[in-house]
Amino acid sequence: MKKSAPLIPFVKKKNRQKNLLQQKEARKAWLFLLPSLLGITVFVLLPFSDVIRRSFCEAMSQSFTGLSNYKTVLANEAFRLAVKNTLRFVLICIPLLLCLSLMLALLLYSQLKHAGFFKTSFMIPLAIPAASMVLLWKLLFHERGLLNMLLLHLGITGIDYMNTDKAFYVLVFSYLWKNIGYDMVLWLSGLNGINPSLYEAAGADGAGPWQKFRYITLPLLSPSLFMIGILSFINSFKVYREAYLISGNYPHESIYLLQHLFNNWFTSLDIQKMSAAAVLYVLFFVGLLSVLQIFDRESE
Amino acid sequence: MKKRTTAYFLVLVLIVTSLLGCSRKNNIRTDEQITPDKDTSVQEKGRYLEKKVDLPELKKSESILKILRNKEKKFEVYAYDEAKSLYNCYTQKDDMSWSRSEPGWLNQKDLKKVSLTSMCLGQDGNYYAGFTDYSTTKSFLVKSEDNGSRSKKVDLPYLLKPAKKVKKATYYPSVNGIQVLADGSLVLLDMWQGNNLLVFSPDGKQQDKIPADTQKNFTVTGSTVIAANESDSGIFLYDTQSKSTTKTYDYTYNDNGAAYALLDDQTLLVGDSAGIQRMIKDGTMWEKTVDGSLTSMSMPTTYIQDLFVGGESPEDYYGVFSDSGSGFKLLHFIFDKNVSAIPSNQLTVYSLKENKTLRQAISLYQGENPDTQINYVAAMGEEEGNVSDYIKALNTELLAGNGADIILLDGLPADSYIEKGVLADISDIIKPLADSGEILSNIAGGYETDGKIYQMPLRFSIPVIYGKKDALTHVSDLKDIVDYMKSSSVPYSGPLTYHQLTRSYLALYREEFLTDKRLSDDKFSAFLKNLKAVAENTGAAETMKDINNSNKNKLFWDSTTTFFGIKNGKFQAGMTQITNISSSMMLFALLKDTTLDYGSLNSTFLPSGMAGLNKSGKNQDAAKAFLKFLYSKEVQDADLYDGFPVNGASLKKWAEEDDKGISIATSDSDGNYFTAEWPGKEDRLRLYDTLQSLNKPIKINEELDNILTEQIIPYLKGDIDLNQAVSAVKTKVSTYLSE
Repeated sequence: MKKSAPLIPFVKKKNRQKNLLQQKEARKAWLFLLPSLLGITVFVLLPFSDVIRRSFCEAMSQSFTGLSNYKTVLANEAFRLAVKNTLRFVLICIPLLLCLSLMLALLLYSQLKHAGFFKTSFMIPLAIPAASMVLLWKLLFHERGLLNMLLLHLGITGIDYMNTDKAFYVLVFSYLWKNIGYDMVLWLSGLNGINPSLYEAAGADGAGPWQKFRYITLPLLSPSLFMIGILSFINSFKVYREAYLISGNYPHESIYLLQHLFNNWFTSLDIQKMSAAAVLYVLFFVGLLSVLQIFDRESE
Repeated sequence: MKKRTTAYFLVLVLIVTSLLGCSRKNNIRTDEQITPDKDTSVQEKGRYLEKKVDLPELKKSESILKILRNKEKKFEVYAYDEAKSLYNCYTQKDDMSWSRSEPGWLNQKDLKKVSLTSMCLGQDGNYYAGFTDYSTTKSFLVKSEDNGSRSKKVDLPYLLKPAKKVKKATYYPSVNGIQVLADGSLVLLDMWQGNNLLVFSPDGKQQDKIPADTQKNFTVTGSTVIAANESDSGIFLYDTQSKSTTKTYDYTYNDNGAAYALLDDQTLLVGDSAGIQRMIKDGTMWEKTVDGSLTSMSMPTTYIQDLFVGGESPEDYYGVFSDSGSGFKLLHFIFDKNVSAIPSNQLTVYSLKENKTLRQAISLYQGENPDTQINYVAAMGEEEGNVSDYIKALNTELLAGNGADIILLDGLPADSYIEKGVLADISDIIKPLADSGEILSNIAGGYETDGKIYQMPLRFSIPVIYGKKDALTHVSDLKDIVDYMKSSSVPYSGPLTYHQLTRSYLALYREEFLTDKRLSDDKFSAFLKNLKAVAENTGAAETMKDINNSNKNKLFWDSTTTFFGIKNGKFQAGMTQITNISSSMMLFALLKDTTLDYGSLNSTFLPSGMAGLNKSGKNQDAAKAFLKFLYSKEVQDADLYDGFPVNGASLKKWAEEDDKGISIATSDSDGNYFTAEWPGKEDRLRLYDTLQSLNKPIKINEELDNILTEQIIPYLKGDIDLNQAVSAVKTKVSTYLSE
């Protein structure tokens, strides 16, 4: 009887080779990650650790104050107003932006004719510098601006948009106008990733447009939703530029955002309050991201 | 494998070049970025130092007219003795003393009733002088003859032709500058010729017209004229023989005049507030030999008139300067190889906007302390911009512990800096000065809180109310003004713009509705109603023709309309801001021989140049010494039109200063005409007493005032009603205050 060769050393050797390969791959991965990791450490993590330290200290003397800065910030009326406005803005704008951009993407997806033209048109706001856009808004929404002139011709009394509650809606409009094209393109890339045979099969089974959307498009777009949602959320913070350029450091209270407060605190050298608020802000942001990620994983 | 090797090589190159870029050695240096090097043993040695040349002692009735350098390269000081109506010439001797002589060519009888306007030593070896007869406005030139014993009129028909006719008045060419070329040709600067230099042959025929920026001085050497080009962007050398520009050098002009010298090897020298710079023949780069920021050349009161090269090696320079405070001065710049190239003591002073008094003090201090360099950072300079961006940049430095040693707090969040402990208590400097009477205790007292002083102004202005005596007593609050205003059918004051009216009244009465970081709705409503009543009564409008809008945040503007209105009984009172004696001339001329009067506005004063000491500054002792110097008589004596001095002796000197011979006039569109001369002694002393009674500093909070003004103006214009204005202000101010 012929003796078979021992299998165990062979398997061990194979595993060792695999491990070595994995280690090599990991080293390569770290090597590629290193520059950006270094950058993030130097420019984000280290400065932020200083921010955390400062949030427990006095502004200039650097003496330890415990949680008093956090207490001060949480009791601060301006902080509460800014948080309220920022949350209100985010909660209104992001769902609105996601829905509207998805609708546009679906329209474009189904309308192949002139799709390129429309895509470009919707992307144009992204290419317009904030300062130019602000000039346009000022022309449009000034008390004696174009919109009020138009309303006056229609017999409607004008409103001082930027100094009333309407300022909030101007800001919402500004955000939507600027970002809708970008989100639309993101949705389109998601839509393009769906296999058309699924729609054909569903069509053969008698599914209508709504059923196709409800049971094929929407579930298959859910991975894109997370990413588009996060990007829209990040972009929502950039709207401060417009709010600042239109109304300065102290705009109407409805558009007084967290960035206004941070900006003003830094001007008055309230670094301790700013640091504490920044830490709270990051905690909230990380918490929200974690929740969204859990939902995303569950949906997957 | 080859690819991998290439990749590794490229990574290596990247790392090496990056590390080289991180080298600490930095050869690029700017005036404001010099970092002190503690290790003086490795410092480079050698720097130009400034030495003041003692000028001859003059009699009280004498004043210097010109300083020249004669053919023997000795300085000559020409002075006029008013008491004797005599010109004197003081010539420098080898032992640096001065010998007096009477220049016969200037003291001729026919020159007694005319005024000397310009003078030079021509390249042809003769002295030339320009005179003007102000009774006819005609000018003429004379030339010295027989070794200066007599003079001869230069035949120049050009000067006899009218230069300008305005209605019935005829004006003749006015010679403001004269230089003479080697062949005896004259180069003249005629006030009426704008940006042109005129060249005349020795027999008086006009030969050429050279376009130049005549404000930037000119000089001649041989047959070459050196001047600034029309666009002020460079210096040109013009050959009068070939009538062409032979060379042009790009040059960025600085303030306070310019002077030129051309060496034998055609090296061009330029002196101005930045220092002395040289350009070798056909060179492209200016070499700064004397750093103006380390000498008194950068003093705002100093104007360079002439530049000469001495006989030392390396080359030394002499600069003739006129100083608005102390008259003429002659400075010698000598290279000292033993002093460190960069002064070992380094101080940094920060201000948002350029401050003339501070600039003056820095120059004086560095002149007295050659081992100290004060780097003055005027973040915004004279420019407009977003102030908060500059404040944030400063805050970043302060938080990193790198802030300036001394900070001028004008426009900065001073209260916040005090609260956060950025500023050091300077009561140990200010209190002794105030107690000894060296600085005004009434001004210093306005900045003492709980025995501590964190800031102190360099200068101050006084807002005054002038007009009917009754009106002066009704300014305790805005309601008081309105009640008084309503008691008469005559408008209270002349019109201002809404912006100026709001800013001025906010400065005076903001505390009526805003106290302890709380805004009272009712009191603010009352303030608005009263302000609107004033605006309506005085006819305030969005813009005004006769009001200068260049500095819209300046407080207490007055206008010719108000001025003539009060004079003619059309208005009851007006407000204005007095910053020095000359700015009070119109006021005192108005009050003269009338029942009108003036008074302070509730003993308030407007501070400027608020100096504070950075607690974390690296050079505390030197910073304190400089801070003390800022309030010294030496610094404060200079009148830089930025406010009254806080130094008691300087203020007294200003008040006692006799007639400067200044006369100003104003007119309005209705043809009203008014002239004012230097205030009389009584008026000056009364103003002096008033200044010493002020004790309430006006605190300007730009951010808050901007918020308030933004909402108040639409209300004054009638665009929004009272409730809308109050509500808009309340929300914004509450947010601001709660931050």
